[in-house]
Amino acid sequence: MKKGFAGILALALAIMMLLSACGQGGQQDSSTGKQNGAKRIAYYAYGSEPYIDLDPSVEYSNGLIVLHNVYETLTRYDNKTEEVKPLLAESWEVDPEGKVWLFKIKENVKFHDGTDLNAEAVQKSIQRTIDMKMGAAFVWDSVEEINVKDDYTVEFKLSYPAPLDLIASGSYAAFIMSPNAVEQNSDWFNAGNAAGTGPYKIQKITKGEEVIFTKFDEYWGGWKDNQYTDIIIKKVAEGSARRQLLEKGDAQVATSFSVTDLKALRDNKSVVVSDHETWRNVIGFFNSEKAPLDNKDFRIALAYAFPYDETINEIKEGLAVQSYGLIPKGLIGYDESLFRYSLDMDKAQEHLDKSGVDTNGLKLEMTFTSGNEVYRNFAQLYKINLQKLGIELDIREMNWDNVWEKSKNPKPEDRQDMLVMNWWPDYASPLSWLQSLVLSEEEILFNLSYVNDPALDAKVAEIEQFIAVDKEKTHDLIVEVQKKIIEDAYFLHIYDDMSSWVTDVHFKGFEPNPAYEGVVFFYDTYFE
Amino acid sequence: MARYIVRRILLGLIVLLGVITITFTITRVIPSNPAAKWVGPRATPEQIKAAEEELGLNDPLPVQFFNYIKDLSKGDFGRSLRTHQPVKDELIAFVPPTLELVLLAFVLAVLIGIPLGIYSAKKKDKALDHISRLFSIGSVSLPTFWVALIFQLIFYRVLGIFPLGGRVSTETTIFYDLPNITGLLIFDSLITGNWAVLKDALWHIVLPCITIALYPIGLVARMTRSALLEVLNEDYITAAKSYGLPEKIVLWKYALKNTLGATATVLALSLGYTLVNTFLVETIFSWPGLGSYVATSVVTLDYPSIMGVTIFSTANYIVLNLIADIIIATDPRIRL
Repeated sequence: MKKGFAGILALALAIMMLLSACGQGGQQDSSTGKQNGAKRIAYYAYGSEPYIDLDPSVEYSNGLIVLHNVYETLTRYDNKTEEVKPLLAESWEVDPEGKVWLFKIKENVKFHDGTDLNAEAVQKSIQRTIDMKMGAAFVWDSVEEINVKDDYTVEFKLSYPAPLDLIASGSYAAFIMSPNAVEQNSDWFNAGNAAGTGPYKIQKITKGEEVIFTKFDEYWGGWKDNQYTDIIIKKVAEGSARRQLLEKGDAQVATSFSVTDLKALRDNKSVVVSDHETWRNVIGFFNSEKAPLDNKDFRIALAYAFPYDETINEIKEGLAVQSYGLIPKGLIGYDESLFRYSLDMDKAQEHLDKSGVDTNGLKLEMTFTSGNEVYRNFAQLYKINLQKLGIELDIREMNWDNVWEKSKNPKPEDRQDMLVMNWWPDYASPLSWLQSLVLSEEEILFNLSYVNDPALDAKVAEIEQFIAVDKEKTHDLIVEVQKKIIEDAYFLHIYDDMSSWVTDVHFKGFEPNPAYEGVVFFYDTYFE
Repeated sequence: MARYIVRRILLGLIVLLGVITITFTITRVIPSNPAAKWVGPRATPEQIKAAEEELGLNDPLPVQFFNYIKDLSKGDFGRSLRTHQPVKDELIAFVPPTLELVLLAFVLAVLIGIPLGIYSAKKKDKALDHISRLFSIGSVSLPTFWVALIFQLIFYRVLGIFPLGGRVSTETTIFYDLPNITGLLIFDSLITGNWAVLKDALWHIVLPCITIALYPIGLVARMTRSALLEVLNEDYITAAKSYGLPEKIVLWKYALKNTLGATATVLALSLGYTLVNTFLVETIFSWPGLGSYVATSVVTLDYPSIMGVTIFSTANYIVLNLIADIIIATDPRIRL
């Protein structure tokens, strides 16, 4: 009997050895990143599902990391020069009012299905996105009609001025697809079909898991020997697993690491860690329609009591910068001369006294989406500071649906007192913050400080008008808007987030662009 | 027997309908905005209105429920609010990987757990019994996510003999066409004779499979041991022994049979439980299964998906329970 038991163990061990042996055999003759026959493979270990919906008109989530390698947009934003650069559009012009746009389309560009890019394809693609009314289709709200002027010229007529060159560079909803693909419904795309003009074709997908690309031989940009021919974007949810894949040289690029993992990776010579600014900022919203937060001095007192430095240096371990108002670095309207509140309990007390608010038994409710460690930590620190002012902070972590539902309650007194969330732009433009967070709303959507100031509304309208035609004037106007909201302390401008990328030493040419968060434009990368 | 089974199936259907009704009501009562979810994170009022129309959310709740049941009877589970895909297709994509993993783990559990329990009972209070009990308790109480991480550390990072995760290597997905007949990759590659894929798939399933198997192994071993000890004290065993029957026959033929009922029930129920609760192990091993689908659906309040998974797991419980009951009913002493 004892023999039998030992036998089972021995058998199990033998099977394990055998499996590991054959596994290793498989491992030796193929290693990603290096040349493998005619293929050179790059592996992007991504922390979540690589896409949610593969329909380029619909996707408004992680999928930009896939779609931007398969499809192209008319223009692309260059965060270094803060300019829009041509991509599928060779050039464009706009009338002085900013309401009629003409795009000249690049010639001799082929879609993956062999058809040629022309003005009609552009018109149909964008019209499809607008008509489907899904995802980020609203960025085209200003578009009244799209006309094909000639084979390679498209005209956009707008109902109000909008920066169409920026909108066309969008991270979502701006993809150009082949006329054959335009006819298809979402299910066709989600079955793994695609027909863009991008450098890579989709070769294989596994739902919720991975996407594999292979190079599109007829890409208009041409190919060099040391570029990657095959790309894998795969979900590796565990940070420790992503780290191990990089350390072993199995993965070439990954992001979203814990501070501990980053520390270890920074000491590793086979990988490169780099920190980059993003356009994602974390904002606290004061309910300016509810007493006592309708009192400006009270809000200023609250703004002085927030632990900005501790949040950035201790909680974020330096991987963030305190915001200058709403607009992050790299966009029009970013200005380092804007006033930043800092933690100053004396000034907080001073403004509290000035406000005349009685803090006896005062309890304020702060809501945010549950599960965010950083928010939880700074909320705790904030709570301690507010206690010194005699205010109790009630921290409520909820599902986003509940946070949002509460914030949209028709009665201001039934809403939260403060709400924390992050914001990022739909396309490379400061308008996203101004239109969504500052412009007064009839039906509450994202203006969750409930700012309702006709003077500010007028300014935003003016910005909309000038953004496409006069950069300097736009900048000044945005700075004015921000001065006013900072002075009135509608928001806690907590921090602009940063992201750390880890790449293999041999994986070169990668530059993260905050306009396309999380995207690796694999065509720009190469093996060295 | 046949009547018993039919009665149980009918009862099961009633339970299923009850679960559907309750889940449907709860998911609709919880404050959420399904139309906004369908459109995307920054849905405009105009987009939401169009989506409400499209999804039939303007109908009164009873009408929506009736429509849901009607679609369900045609095998249509609706579309996920998050991915816009038919829930049925998503279940077809995510259930097989988990099923493959969990079934293999349970085969392992039976193959290792039952012998372990028997030897433990036979050698009661001897060294082997203590070791095996220690192992059983350990495997039941060690947190699986911890075991998973330790396995990765040892077998991938230090020894480098097993992969970190996934179902197959990235190279295999690029260089081979993965067979897809049942969705169970090991089985499919076996019947299509795709040895390279089979080898790679087996190599990948080892660590997650053992991690998941640990709990049922301990469970089965402990159940078998305690049930067997009880049976071994029965008079008929003493009688059989006194007749001079070989110990092997007494143990395997007469004693073991009487312990199987309890073990089968426990095993069947824990199989039902494990199918939807492998989230942590799947996440750590990047296994494209049901676990993370369930978790994301719940977190995002994607109720068509929540309903789909609920129906799937309820049906599982009912079927597995039925199987366990049938196994028990093979005991002639039990009257139906």
